[in-house]
Amino acid sequence: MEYPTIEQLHNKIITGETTIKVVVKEYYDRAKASDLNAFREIYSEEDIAEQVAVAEAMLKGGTATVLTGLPIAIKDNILFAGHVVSGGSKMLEHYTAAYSATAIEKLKAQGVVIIGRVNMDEFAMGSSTENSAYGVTKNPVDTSKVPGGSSGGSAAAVAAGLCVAALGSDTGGSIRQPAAFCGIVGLLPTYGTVSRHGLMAMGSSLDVIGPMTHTVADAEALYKVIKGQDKYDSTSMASPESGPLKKRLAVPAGIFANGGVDSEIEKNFKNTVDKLKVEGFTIDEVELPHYAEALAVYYILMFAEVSSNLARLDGIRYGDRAESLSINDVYGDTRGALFGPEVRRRILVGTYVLSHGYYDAYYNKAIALRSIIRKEVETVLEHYDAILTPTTPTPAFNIGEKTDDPVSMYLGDLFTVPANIIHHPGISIPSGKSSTGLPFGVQFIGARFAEDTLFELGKTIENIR
Amino acid sequence: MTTEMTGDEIKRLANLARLSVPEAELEAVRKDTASILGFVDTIKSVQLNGQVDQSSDEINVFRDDIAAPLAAYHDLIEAAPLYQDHFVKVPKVLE
Repeated sequence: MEYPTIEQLHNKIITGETTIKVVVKEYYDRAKASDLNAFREIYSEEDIAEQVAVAEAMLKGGTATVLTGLPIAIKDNILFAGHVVSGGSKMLEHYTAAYSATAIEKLKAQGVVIIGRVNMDEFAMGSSTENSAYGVTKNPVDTSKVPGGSSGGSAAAVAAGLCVAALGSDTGGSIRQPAAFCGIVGLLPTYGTVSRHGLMAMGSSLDVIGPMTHTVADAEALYKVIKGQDKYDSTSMASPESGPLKKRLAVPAGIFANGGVDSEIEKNFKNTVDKLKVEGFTIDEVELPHYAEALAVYYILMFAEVSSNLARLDGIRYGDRAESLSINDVYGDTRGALFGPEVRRRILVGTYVLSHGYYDAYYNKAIALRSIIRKEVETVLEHYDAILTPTTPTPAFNIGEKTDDPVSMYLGDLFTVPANIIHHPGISIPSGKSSTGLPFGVQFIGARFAEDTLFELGKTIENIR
Repeated sequence: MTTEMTGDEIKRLANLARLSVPEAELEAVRKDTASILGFVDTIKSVQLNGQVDQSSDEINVFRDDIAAPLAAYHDLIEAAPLYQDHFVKVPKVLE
């Protein structure tokens, strides 16, 4: 089913063909009726009515923008003041946000109607939403499949028309991979262009909030609103303009050599390359000698950052608390009981790679390789608009298929993690379907701050697929 | 090349991480941890030639250190599982 774009809905609202109330109700009712387990919470009718009233007043007062009155869902790790935000964890089941994320403040200033929070892997750790403490979300394209993750609720909600668009967060592919699995567009903005204030930290040097939408133009509309330097995030920055399109794309050499990529995805990708050539693009295979190391580098850095970031969830400051007597037992028992298995694994491995005697072999090596990979990519991007790969090596897999093997789950992040470790933007665009109807995604990783280039490339894919 | 840890080493790590691991889960955790470390161990074999340039044009941007009232102060305290008179309650730290 085709759902309307942001621009189409906006035009219908400003011409009086429909009203904000009608639009919101249509999505709200679908969200209520859905059995995908995409939403963790759909906000109350009173809450929605208040938000709709604000949007209507903006429309009446002539201050409406393209997003005013449109129903949007937010990942359950982004703070919205006065609303529960759980991070997909038992740890924060009853935690109410005391303030709003900067990205939320910016959306609210446009009169966006936030209809609810959507499911995710616990504290954004996972690629399938199966690590959510509240059950897996089903992929709307095929309900026996996972929607991807960690922003799987966001992807499923958009794909099933339960909201016009959603916010996700991407630490190693958590926006782009579920977007590919559910057949929608997902943008990882350049690290720092969107404030992380009010996003629950997982890997602070990797996390980025970004839009998940039906079309590239929709992603662009949301990105333009949520970006900008923020005094509450010291790593945030204003973004310079991108340069003109070179119409040159680079494909890392050997990406299909190891046999890890699904044969239909490989065929689909080569088909996309051929179509882009017809459009006048030059596409070259380029050598990126350390690109294959990105996956291990990513996991080491992320484990390390997870183990330190999640130390704050100790049974003292937030959420629930074990009844134990000594302070050490309160910490240990609260964390042991309320974190799920994947979170516990990552904390333990992160503690290991940061511990005395192993720090140099893992963490310092990963930091050095991060710089080397970044140099290699930046050298390539002096001559090319973007690096082009499939978004994922396989389409959406069966629910339960990989839950017993964490490493096989990690390998699915092969094509997405390089962008995160080097702070470059990436976008996943739907690119056809498998013989069984599962969506494929194609990914562009651009130069830092080259979001406009990615939008242009994305729109090209939309026109030729 | 795999990095195997003993059950006692897992216990030591769990204690460092302030994370209780029930005895019954120890073996499963040990196995998973070994397979994850085996996976990231690949970077140990990568040879780095000399000093790596780790410079970047990214800089932290700090705001001015100006005291301001915190509107959400009480909400933040009340987010704690135990609090009293606007203080977070903790078990005895010093014996």
